[in-house]
Amino acid sequence: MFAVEMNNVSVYIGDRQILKEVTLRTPYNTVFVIMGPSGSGKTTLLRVINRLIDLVEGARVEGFVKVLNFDALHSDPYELRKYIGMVFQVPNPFPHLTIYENVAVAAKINGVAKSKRELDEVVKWALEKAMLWDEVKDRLYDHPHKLSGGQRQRLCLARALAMKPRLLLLDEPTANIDPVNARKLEEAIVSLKDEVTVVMVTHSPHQAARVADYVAVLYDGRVVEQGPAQQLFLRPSTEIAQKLLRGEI
Amino acid sequence: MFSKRDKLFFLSLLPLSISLLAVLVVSVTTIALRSLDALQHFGLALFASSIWNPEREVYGLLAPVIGSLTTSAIALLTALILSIPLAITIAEYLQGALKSVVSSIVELMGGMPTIVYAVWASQYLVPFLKQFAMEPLHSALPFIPLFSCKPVTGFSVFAAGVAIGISIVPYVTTLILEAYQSIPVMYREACYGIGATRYESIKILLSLARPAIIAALVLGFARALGETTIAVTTVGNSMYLSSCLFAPGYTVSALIASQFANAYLYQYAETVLYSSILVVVLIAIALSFYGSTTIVRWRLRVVV
Ligand SMILES: Nc1ncnc2c1ncn2[C@@H]1O[C@H](COP(=O)(O)OP(=O)(O)OP(=O)(O)O)[C@@H](O)[C@H]1O
Ligand SMILES: [Mg+2]
Repeated sequence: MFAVEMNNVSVYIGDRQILKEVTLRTPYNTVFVIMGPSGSGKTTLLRVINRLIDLVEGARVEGFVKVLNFDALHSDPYELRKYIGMVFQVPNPFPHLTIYENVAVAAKINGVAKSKRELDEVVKWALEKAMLWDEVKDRLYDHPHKLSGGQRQRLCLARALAMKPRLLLLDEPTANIDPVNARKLEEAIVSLKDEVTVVMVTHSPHQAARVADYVAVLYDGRVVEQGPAQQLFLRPSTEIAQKLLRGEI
Repeated sequence: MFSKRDKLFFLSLLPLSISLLAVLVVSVTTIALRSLDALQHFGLALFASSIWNPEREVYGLLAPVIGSLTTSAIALLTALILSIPLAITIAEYLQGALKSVVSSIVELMGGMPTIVYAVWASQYLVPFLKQFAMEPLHSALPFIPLFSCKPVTGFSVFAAGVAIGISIVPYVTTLILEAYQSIPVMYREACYGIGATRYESIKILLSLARPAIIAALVLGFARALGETTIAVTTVGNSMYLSSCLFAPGYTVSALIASQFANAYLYQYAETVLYSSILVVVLIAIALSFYGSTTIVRWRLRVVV
């Protein structure tokens, strides 16, 4: 059983092909890392999983995508997204909501908390998991524009966690974060595995090595190599993967 | 922040903006100067009674000033009820050809001369409101002062408010639509990224746009204050001040439209009319200023 299963998935935007016959499988309760150079289609791949690709004008998806128990391309996208949390490449906390409300809104929408007390607990739990609690516990009612870029990104992670998703899509969640906090966040991600399946994009081979159970390497819209992380890191079979792991592309 | 070309562009617009501002300043100054006589002669007592008797040089502007504020408040409520759903329907639920057709209709309605609304309102809307809104409200809730009188002709503060409200719907809808559609996609994605349904996303995005929506309504209120043709044909033109919305009343604009032509015959009628304009214009300018700066500040905070 797989949390995400793609068979021969191609994505076109206009008449340009962005993803090319992508086939991959993400087992439940694992961290699945997608690597690849800039522009290789990583974000697009995540957006197919939760159908955010629908928002892209002129985008067309072909192939078969199974997400959790959904036939993703033929399901109601809103129904599908109830089970999938996403953290975007550029942090996008709601500017009109406080730090507390940003996290709480996700819990409320998904019926995670019934009382104010439960809500408080979920918010605290999510902020702790996202390694942000200590920095914001005294300013929960500030607005997110007062946070640093990295703090905002962690707020978005907390927001995604507060919905108690079954699948978590992370698009370079540590891109704006210092190494110390990035390491903490990695620990958090690994510790989430009991509850969720994580599909994560990263540019850092070291980070991938620390968190990944499975790795897929994307290059120009194609999966050029995928497999269990240890195997792939020890013996990358393609030149592209070797270069990528050495940080040469 | 701005490129050289942008600066040149702004500079070239400067004379135009300055002359527009100058027109405004000149008009307001003129109105103020012309109302000086009345203000000196009658003082604030001018706004404390509701008598219009030029033959005896007795004037009171309470009824039209209150009438202007009340009709505009009802107009605001009407626009609120109609514009937000209309804007959301256009932005979220209509697609392709239908979307452009409906947006064009809204634009067209906005450009329509208000006399068209005035004729339609006095012929059809007023009787309709009398039968289906005023009479039922009066029968059901006669103990509420606002609904305490039986509508006689239907021409009333209430009817004028609703009619003016409908006439500002295109304007307010366009402002709300602009604000709503200028919300960056990343916030819509954020909604979907936490599993929000379409309805929940709309709620979140509307709350994100709330300052701009309130500002749009304030601008609508300012525009309603100045509305003349519709007011004069629907408000009933009565100087009698009533707490009941279904009684005929006056607005400042309607008073001016109906009295200005003969005002020169009397010593104070004209300057009194000017002082009524002054009140409305100052309120409208303040509200417009508040409304437009709020929208700009909101854009700067949220959009860029
Ligand atoms: N909305 C769009 N319209 C047209 N082309 C797009 C759109 N979004 C992405 N693309 C193209 O699709 C390709 C893959 O983009 P994608 O964002 O998936 O790359 P990525 O691997 O996430 O890159 P990065 O590491 O820089 O984030 C790029 O060539 C990009 O130009
Ligand atoms: Mg990307």
